[in-house]
Amino acid sequence: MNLVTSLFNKNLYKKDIRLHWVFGIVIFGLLFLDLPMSHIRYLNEISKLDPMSYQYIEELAWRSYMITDPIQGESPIQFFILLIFPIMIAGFLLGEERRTKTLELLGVMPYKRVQIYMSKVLAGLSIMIVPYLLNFCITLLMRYSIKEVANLYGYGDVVHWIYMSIVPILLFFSFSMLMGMLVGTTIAQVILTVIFMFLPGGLWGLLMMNAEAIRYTLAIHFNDTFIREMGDIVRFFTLPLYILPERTFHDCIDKINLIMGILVIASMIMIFIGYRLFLKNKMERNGEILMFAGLENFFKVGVAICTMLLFGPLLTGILQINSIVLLIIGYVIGLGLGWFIPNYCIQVNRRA
Amino acid sequence: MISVVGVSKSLGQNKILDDVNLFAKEGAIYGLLGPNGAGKTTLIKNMVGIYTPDEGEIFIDGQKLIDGSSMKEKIAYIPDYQNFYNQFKVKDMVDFYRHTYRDWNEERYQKLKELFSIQDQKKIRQLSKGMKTQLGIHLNLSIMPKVMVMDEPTSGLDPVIRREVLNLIVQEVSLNNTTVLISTHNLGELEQICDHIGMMNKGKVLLETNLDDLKEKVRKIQVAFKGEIPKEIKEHKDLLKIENVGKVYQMVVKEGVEKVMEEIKKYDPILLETIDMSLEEIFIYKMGGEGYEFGDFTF
Repeated sequence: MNLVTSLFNKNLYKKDIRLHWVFGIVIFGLLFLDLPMSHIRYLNEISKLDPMSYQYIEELAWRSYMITDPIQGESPIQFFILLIFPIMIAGFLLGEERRTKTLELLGVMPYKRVQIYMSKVLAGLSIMIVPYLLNFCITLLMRYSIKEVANLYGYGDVVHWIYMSIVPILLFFSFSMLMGMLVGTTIAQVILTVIFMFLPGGLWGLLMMNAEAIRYTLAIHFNDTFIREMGDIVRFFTLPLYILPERTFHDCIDKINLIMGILVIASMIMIFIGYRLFLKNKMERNGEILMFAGLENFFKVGVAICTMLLFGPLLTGILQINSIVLLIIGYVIGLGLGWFIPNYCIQVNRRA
Repeated sequence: MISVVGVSKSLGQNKILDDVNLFAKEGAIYGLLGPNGAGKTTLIKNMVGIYTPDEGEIFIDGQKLIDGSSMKEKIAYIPDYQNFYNQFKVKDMVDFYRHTYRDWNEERYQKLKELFSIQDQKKIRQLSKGMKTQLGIHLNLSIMPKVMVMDEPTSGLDPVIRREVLNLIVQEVSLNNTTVLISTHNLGELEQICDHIGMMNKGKVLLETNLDDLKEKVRKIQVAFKGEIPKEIKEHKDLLKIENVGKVYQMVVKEGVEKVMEEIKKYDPILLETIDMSLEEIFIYKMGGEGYEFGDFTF
């Protein structure tokens, strides 16, 4: 109990919930539209039709799809919730406290940093998970009480749905919180979180593009099996792919529970690393793009390499000229822009 | 009691505090003075735990100020601009403070409501700078602090409230023996309430003394001679500043005013008197002596 009270603080938790509950309402509303509401629409539509008609069978098939699709976790609304809200909520929990300098107010108050951090983690997760749990309960209730719905899916499907939704939320949110410890402004936090979530897959795509460009430009054949095989590994590190784990990892579907378990552990590790970084965060760097001065060169070099890999094939592709000179010019432009733009952003932000 | 020992702090490439030492004894009202950019706010932010010193240590009531230190329960901080949660109503902010500080005094809070009449239902974002400052002072006085650190606490307040706030600070010290450190550019106000002062410039504390001692030490002498002012007097080592209107010279003596008077008397002056100086005058002359002056600027 002592450990719990020293990790969390009810007052801080309540404060974060009070500040950001509106996100929870939006998530609840969107999920409600996607699940229970579609059940109600389904019941309304089929009640108007003659059960013996051809139209009834057609309509039944279509409406069934509308219900089972969100439960299988393949609805665009749920993709949107899973990808956008964890990033946005982490941005508001951290970035906005830094921007409005209320984090300084908390720094003066008798709270430990671990309490400030863990209360934010818990509040963020509550805001996202409670709407899921509420819709889970409503859906179970509808499944129990409505015969027509019971023909479409079982209780196990709903349990599977919530499990496959909450694990990605935990993963994306813990990653966003970790990024929030490295970045000092709300906008930079959101942008860099999205970039880094896609980075492993994106970088792999860039390498593939460049392999193609070099092959055509120099007319040489080299074995890119290694790069292609790397794709199989890289997908495990490209977080957005976990929105649809059963599709992305269909070849290892028998191990999906293991994958989900690893994701939960990875999330816990990221939350812990985030906490360690929060201890090292200096309040005076709040508002800077990067919270650690030592990251600036790493950031600039990283961006420069990515833009270099992008601009080379892009230039030869746009001009449709397979020339090594053009490829190199593209690399140089990309390298220059990739170095200059982040450097400029850091300086402008610092002057502001 | 506040004790700052050898604190240095850099922000980016700039060294803002350089081996700062400061001591405010229990029950003192300590005025922290200094020109813009002297490092006062950075020092204050180190004192209350917002910043962490690069070097040196800060003790509040003998306890080193660290993360989660229980001493933070006893520290009230009133910055020049209060940063509260804009989405909150006043009552939410009060509630937040009430549940944060164990020594929250509801009776005192209710009593102070008579003075700071801010409606509970108002949103924080609807409050002006002055109203936010009032709310900050109201809340911080209700936590029963042992140490109050205030950075320009009266900026944005109207003259009536400003006077009441100064009165409250004095009462707080006499009732609870609270240690108060105030940084302000309003030296007239400071002079009314503070008993100790520290002067900062370029990241260093140049002077730390009792205000009465300082006013006793730094004084102005008005003198006139029949002929020209003797060179020995004009270039005396204890003079901070000398200026004249006709034959009447006004000289600011940094210390040993009696000794300087004795020396002047040797030259048989036709006018010789001492004039008390305000804290503002002392500050201007002291800072002038440290190279912080602009002369008599004219368009």
